Amino acid sequence: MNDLKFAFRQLLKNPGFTAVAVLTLALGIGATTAIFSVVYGVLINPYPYAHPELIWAPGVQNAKNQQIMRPFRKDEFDPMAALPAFSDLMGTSPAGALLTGEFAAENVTAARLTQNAFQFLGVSPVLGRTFGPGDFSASGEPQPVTVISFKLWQRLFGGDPKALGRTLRLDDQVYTIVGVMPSRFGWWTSDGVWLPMSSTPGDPGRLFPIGRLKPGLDSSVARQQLQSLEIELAKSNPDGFPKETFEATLTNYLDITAASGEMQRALHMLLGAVAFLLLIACANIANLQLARATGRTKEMAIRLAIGAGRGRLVRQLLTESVLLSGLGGALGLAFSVALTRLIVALMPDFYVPNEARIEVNGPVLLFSVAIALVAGVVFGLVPALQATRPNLAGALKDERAATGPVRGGVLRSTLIVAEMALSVVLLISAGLTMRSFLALQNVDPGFRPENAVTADVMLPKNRYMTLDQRNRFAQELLERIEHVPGVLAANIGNGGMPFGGAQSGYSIDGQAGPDAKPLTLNLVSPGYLKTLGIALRRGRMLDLDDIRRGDRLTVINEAAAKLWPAGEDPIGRQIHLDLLKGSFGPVLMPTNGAPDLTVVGICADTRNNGLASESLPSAFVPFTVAAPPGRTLAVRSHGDPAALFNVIRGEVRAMDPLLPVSNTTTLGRTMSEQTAQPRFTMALFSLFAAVGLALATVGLFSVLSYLVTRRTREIGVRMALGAQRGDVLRLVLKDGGRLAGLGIVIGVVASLGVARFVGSQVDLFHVNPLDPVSFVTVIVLLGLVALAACWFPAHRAASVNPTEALRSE
Amino acid sequence: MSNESLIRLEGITKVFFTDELETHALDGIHLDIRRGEYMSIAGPSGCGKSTLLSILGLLDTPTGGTYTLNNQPVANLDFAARARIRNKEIGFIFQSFNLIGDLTVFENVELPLTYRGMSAPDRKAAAMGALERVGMGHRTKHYPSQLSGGQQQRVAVARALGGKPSILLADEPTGNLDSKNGDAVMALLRELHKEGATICMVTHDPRFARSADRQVHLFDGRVVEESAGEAVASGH
Repeated sequence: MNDLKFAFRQLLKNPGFTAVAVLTLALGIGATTAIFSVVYGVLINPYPYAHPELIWAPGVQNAKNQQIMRPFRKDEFDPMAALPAFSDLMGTSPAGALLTGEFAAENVTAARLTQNAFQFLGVSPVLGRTFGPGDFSASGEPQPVTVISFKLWQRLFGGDPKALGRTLRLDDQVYTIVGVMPSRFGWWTSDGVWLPMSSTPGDPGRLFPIGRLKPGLDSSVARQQLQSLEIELAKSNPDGFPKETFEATLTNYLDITAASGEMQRALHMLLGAVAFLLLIACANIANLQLARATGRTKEMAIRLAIGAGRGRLVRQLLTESVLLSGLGGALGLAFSVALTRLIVALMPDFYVPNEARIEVNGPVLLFSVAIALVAGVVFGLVPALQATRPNLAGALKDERAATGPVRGGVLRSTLIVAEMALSVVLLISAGLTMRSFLALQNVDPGFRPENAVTADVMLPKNRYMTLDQRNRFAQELLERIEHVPGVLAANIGNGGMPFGGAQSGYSIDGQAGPDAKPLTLNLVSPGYLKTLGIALRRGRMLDLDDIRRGDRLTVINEAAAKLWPAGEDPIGRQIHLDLLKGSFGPVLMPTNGAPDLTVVGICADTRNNGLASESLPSAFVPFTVAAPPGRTLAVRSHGDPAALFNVIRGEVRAMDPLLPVSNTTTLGRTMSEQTAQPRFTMALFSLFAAVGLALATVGLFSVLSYLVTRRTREIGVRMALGAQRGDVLRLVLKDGGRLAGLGIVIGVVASLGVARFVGSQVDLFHVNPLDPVSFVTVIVLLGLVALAACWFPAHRAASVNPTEALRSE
Repeated sequence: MSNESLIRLEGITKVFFTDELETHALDGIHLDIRRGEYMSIAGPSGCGKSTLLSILGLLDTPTGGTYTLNNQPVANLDFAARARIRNKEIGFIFQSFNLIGDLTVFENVELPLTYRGMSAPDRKAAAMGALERVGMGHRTKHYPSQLSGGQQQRVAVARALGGKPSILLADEPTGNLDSKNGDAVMALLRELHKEGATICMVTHDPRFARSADRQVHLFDGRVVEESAGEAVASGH
């Protein structure tokens, strides 16, 4: 208690030191806590479900691809549920539903769930109940009841508890609301509804099964059981499984988050970056503590002289350090709350699971306290050990050599070198992510995103049942939009606006593609190239007559043109697209259509598989040859494209008042989403690197300032002996330059390894991990900053008055 | 004063090594300090007075020779053991007082007792007793900077006395004081001696050196003369 009281008194006595130390620690601990809160919310504890570590998703893997989660036929569900490895199995069948009735029409996600789903997931409703046996008939037919999400409850009913018992009209069927789930519950949707799934025998539907392993059971045992089952299922359902050899997979649900993959790796890298930052902060405080310890040499000597054991003094000094880190941690926690908000704002939504909550909660708080304690010990121990072994006799008699070495000099120098080296590593890593981002930003996508928008229109299957109905709707909507003043061009169809598209197997002259890779099939209207701003290289674009007739014609991109043998002209040749063989699922096609199309033109390549990927071979065909229920509209205008959204909504409403328009966005925003993840990584890396650089610079500055103060008498002697001011300036600059130079060299060497590691974790776009530009820029930048940090103490040393210096203590 | 030996030094040497240079600070010191004795060590600057006092106070270790305190060899003890003995057996009075500026008068006196693990009530009683003894009981809440030099030295004496050590080691206790305050501190030491305290004092002031029972004169790290002090010589 006395130690604590004395520690408080010490900190209050040195407000400048305390403020600098607390701020430095707050930066280090705050940044670490903020990144940990993201990692905790997104990767460690993304789900509110009971024991998510026991939840596993069955899948299939073969040489071509891996389906971590895949739909199985409903009649395959029961045999899977009967596997001894599973203590429980639930199924989900996701779908969209058109919400109409008393609410404005909109498409909502409607996930159908097996009866046991909510019990399986272990989350209770905030209002009402979940599904029970009473919601299913004896034959397995579900009752028209629904459990709704918290967000939908707030949005449609303003959170009114009387929503229970009210009804929702979904796809023209009325469902009674029986429950509302908590805000964190987001199974397949966090803004939709859950409906009971039919389990009648012979139901041809499909579902995604999710199993809960028996506690203590090794997943490899479960996988073997699943493998045996899937081999049996493939015998009775050969089309449902890969033709080649395949393996059953089981993936833990904690590994299936929206943040899996690149974001997960980026977060781990950022956690490493803030650990570096924290180390720099600790090194800084350790240096300050060492300087303070020198000033307290006599105090320590007195304490030792009157019988204090060394351990006792170390304990006292560590109490001061831990108190300091506690204060830094408290301020850091406040800082982390703000930084967490900033990170969440920067973080692309689609990388955050529905259920995740990124916040400074109990576990994050514990983490923060733990790192504050560890930091306190880390930066306090070495200075404490050093401070408690003074030259007792000398210290008690106020002896100090006029020109002797400064105690702890090696340790102080080591800390500064380490800070500089860590800073170099951070800066080079940040530089690589920045160069990668800029390279991605400067990619020519092959289309022009400015002044263009896209919007989705989903046609209800029960009201738009025929190919002709769907095509007539699309054609009329297109004509209406094209006649809107200010519209330059419009396109309706599916895929390629600007990314994606259906994947189809193909063959040319009866020969399948050489590497069996699929080709991207896009349904388009005549205005596609103009709307997207894509150049036509040769031949012609599909015209209105081609579209109206649904002619079997296609325009291909340059990547697809290369599928023909070199020297052969694809124009006029035929390509066979497997996907156009006939209707499948909800996609309607003419009964008399042939899957062979004649190439009439070649257009420029676009980055149709994402900005960072090479162009995929694509075929553009009349949208009238296939009609899925949903269509995408792309429109290019003269002015502000966002103004088009209401126009599109108005035109759709004029054609069908019950049709909602969804996913309205600009092409600019779609492009921006492509760079969202690299931008996020780059921004945070750069922020942490900048803070690290600032801390290292302050560290170098304070150590040199301290050395100059300690060497004032020596400098006085030197000047008395004839040294010029320039000599003194060079003396200090040389000291600082040596430390900074050594730090930079060590940092660069370390970065050679770290940069390769960063390159293996973060997708660096067109940037070599050993990118010389990044390395040289950082070396020059750090050199200049170090020079500035050295200059002021050096200038002060050169301004020493020798007479006063020789008198100084 | 009893005839029982409290401290015995036999052939104590101390050599400092700096940049290939050997400095023999102490060169075969033999010294006995009896319980209850008041001894002064005198000599010119650089003769080894302070080095000898540092070794006596276990602040430093000798290069050679034996040192027994209370019949226990202590020359080669480790740092922790020496700290424990300093805490229990030795009280220091320094020329520059060496009070801790961040602690109050009471806390300064209490500090060695804290290190001893004494309970708070016992510490308070002992510290207050020592402060009353040196006439500083009314300044317990003051900080050293609020006291005069003489008062600070009296607090330092109280700190040395608080733990009832076997011996008080005083290193030029009047060196930073004016003559009036210096005389007062010397008077205090004499009173303590009369009450039974063993005192070993380093001083270069012959007047104060003579006030001890015995004077030891050092020159070039050797004891060159031992003589009785004025009190002994005059039969007091």
